[in-house]
Amino acid sequence: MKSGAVLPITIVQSADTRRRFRVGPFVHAVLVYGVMIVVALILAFPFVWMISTSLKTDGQIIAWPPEWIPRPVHWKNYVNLFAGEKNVTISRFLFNSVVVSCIAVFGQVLSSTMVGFAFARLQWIGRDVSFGVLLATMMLPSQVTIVPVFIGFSKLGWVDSWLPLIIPSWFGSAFFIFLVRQFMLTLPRDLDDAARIDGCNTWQLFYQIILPLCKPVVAAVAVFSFQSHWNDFFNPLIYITNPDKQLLSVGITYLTQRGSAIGPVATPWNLLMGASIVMAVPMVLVFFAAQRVFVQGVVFSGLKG
Amino acid sequence: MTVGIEVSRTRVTRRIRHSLPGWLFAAPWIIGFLLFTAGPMLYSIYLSLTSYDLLQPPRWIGLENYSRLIDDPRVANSLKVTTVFSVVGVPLTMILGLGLALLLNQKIRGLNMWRTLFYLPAIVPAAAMGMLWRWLLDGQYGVINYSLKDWFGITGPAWLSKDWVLPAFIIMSVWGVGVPMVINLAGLQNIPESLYEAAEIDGASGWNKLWNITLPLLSPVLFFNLLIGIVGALQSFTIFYVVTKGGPRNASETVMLYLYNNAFQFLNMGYASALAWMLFVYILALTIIVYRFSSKWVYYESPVERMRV
Repeated sequence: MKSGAVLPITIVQSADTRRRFRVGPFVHAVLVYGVMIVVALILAFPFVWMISTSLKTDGQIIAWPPEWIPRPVHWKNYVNLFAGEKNVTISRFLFNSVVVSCIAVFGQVLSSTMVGFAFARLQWIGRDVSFGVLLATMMLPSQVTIVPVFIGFSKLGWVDSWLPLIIPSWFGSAFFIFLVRQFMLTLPRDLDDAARIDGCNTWQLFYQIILPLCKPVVAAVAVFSFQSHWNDFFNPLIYITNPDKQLLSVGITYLTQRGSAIGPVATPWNLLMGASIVMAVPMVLVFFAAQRVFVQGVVFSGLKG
Repeated sequence: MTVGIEVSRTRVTRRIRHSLPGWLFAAPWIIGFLLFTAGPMLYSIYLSLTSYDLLQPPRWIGLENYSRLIDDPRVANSLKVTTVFSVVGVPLTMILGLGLALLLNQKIRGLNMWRTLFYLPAIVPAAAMGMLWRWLLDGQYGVINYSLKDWFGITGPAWLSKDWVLPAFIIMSVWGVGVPMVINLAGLQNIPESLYEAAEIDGASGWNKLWNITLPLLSPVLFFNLLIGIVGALQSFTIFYVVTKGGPRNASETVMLYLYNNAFQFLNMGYASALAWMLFVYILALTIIVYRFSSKWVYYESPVERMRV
């Protein structure tokens, strides 16, 4: 079908095949939306059950056959999670997670923008070699550093404190630095020259001129950094043993061991599901608040290859 | 002569002085790289050649940890678990993500709503997701088996038993389909519309367009997702820890779980370091294999080829 000479014939053929193989637009739409609705139902199924379970009494969660809509709706689980007996509350974990995540995100944003600025807009000996190393660390799997870093922090006596969860993010991370650098490269050079002529030093150039123009990438770094700290399970698991200092991700697993104070089941699934929802809600809120940043970030990290 | 040296010396000092702000601004990362990446990597090599329990000082044992790796049945088992989970789960999720992206790439009403709906499960924290799956697959009160029986008349297996636990984890990974979907969707929207128009003039059917335009042009994106997905899956820990802790009888013990157990339960820091290096090399090797294999199906367009399509 490449040659121009047979063009008329191909057109006839194509009209023919089209008539034979094409389903009508209505059937097509029904199929497409049908498949999407089925997929959405399958994906939503666990979460509907999660919400339902979190609103049940201990007796209702083992009711057979299982009820999808609890009758009556038992809101008290959420009260218990925040103000109940000490062994079922997660308010302490929630507070700890918020504090640790916020301090870590602040450090991450500050250090990543500073280093990104150095790579994008300053000239220094060793810059290009350093950038190559930075790219390499982005590719390398990181599990070989877990044990030695743990040993280092335990020698410092920092185990069972928040420092190992916070300090590393104050040194920037390769992916965020890369994001910031790419963004800062798009800002015009004239800005720097104009600022220098007006007598700005490097810090003023960074803090007063460049940084205010970087809001989109700062938002992206903040969102992704918050997500990674909020979801982090491994680090709190290995560094924190004191329940009063534990974060939410590991904290919710404690509820399984504590058992139900009153009920007939060994595991308080209603409270566990409530706690899991409490942990997921901030992520969902961040997602909706910064949906564009989020999607673009995922796309950027996926398409950069 | 002396003048020349003088000039070059001042030039050097000027260059160094000129570099100072850059060094200062890059200092956090440079220090962090030395403290948290380069230093620990070197120390990890040393540790892997010792026996160390955090209490006694490290004792040099040469390559003993590495020879132990080869004989340890739990290592072989964890490698098998991790590999099966990654090379089955990741492509499965990729294909589903591609399918959803192709569906959404048509002229669909409420694209944003659908995209959000399919993506949302992927942002639920792994610990919360793990708790949820434990409850869904619970042997006694698990609603999945109840629903299978009630709606479809299928008697579901004991999901968290020795034979079914790995398939169960692979099924769980499907709930992360939103990530490849979003990336594929963006990739699809980058394919120029003119190619499809040209193909239609030539009489190409829907399947022809999919095989000859969409998939080749999307293949670099698919490939990159596959690579990142497999590298990530090979390091899986949280969901396995939360749902089964590696049980029953190590049937779902990933390499990272075994590493965690060695380092933080048995306090075998030396052996854990050797395990980490084994996983490191394994990931690199698998990456290279996937990379080599990719030249057969990944299409990299150049401007000239684009003209010819």
